Amino acid sequence: MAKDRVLLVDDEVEFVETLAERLRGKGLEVEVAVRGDEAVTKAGGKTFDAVVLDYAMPGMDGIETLRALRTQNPDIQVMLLTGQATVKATVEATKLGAVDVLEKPTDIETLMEKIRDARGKHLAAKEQRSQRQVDDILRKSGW
Amino acid sequence: MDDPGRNRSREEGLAFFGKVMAGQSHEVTNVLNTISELAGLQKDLLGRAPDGGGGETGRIREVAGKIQRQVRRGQEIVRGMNEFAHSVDVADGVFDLRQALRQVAGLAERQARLKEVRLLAELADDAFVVQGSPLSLQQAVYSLIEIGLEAASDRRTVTVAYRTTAAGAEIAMASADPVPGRAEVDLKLAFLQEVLARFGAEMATSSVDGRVGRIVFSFSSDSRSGRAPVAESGTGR
Repeated sequence: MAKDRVLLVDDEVEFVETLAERLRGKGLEVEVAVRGDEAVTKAGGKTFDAVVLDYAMPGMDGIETLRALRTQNPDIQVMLLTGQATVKATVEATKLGAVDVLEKPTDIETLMEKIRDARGKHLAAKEQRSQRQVDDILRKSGW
Repeated sequence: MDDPGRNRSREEGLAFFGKVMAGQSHEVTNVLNTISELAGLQKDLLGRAPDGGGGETGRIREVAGKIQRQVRRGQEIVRGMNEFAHSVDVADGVFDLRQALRQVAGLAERQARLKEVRLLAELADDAFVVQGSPLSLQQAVYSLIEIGLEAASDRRTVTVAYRTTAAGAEIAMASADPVPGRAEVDLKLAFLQEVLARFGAEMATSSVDGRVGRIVFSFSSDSRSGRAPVAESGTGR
């Protein structure tokens, strides 16, 4: 079975590289970005089952990055990781299509479960999109 | 008479202090989160060690666990600090009384621990919203708890309880050791009366032989809008 592919985005370099190593040790394929714009570039060039995105970052913050990621690929599954999961942050992120808002510190097993869930949603979203495209073609062909 | 310019300067000073404290506590949280992940990685690596985690590796694994426990403790403390720092974001706002008490009881834990007194916070489930300065109310509740802690002897319990009533809500402090009547306690009680008046709330004490056993802050439904009782002059807000 293919490995879950995750993009971790956090400006705390030591934190994100350590988390990446832990997730790789548990069998995931992990890439890292330390800036929002770097994350958008990486997500544009590769398919990820989930993006784990820090809320507070210099430059493009988590919300701006989320917006850019979802504009680039509406099927992308993004979960926000925040030091303080305020109501405002949760509402903002959910409105922009984040699949979850998690508060740091998050237990690694919980994070992995969330990534697995996100993968399921990603596959379902892709299938739905494909189905819509097929339906569209059939309709235009008069079938 | 209040000097509006001085009040505003004080408020801005507090807002500045709160902003910096909130920012710094975020920084500390980042450090703690990183330490926690490093300790977690240490455990993961040891779990894959050839000797299966016995002997020295077992001991290192144990230490990594202790590091993670202390980090969790630090994270909780910093979370409390950060919440407290945010209480000066607005000089006059709408907030939940229950949350304010929960926060202050957490902050007063250290003082209770140093005094070897058990501080018990009993919080009813329902919220009660008041309007005013969150910092002022927290300061009043902290003073209330302090009065109880200072009177309590070793290994006693001070209870601070929150409940809603038909008329509004109450915060009550009860101590196994009644508070002796002293000038400094009277001054504190006078201060509390003043702060509560700004919320349209009242304070009642019950005493035996000149010693205060229980102090209750009562907030009426009028407190929700921040209106002071009709008899008050309404100054200070």
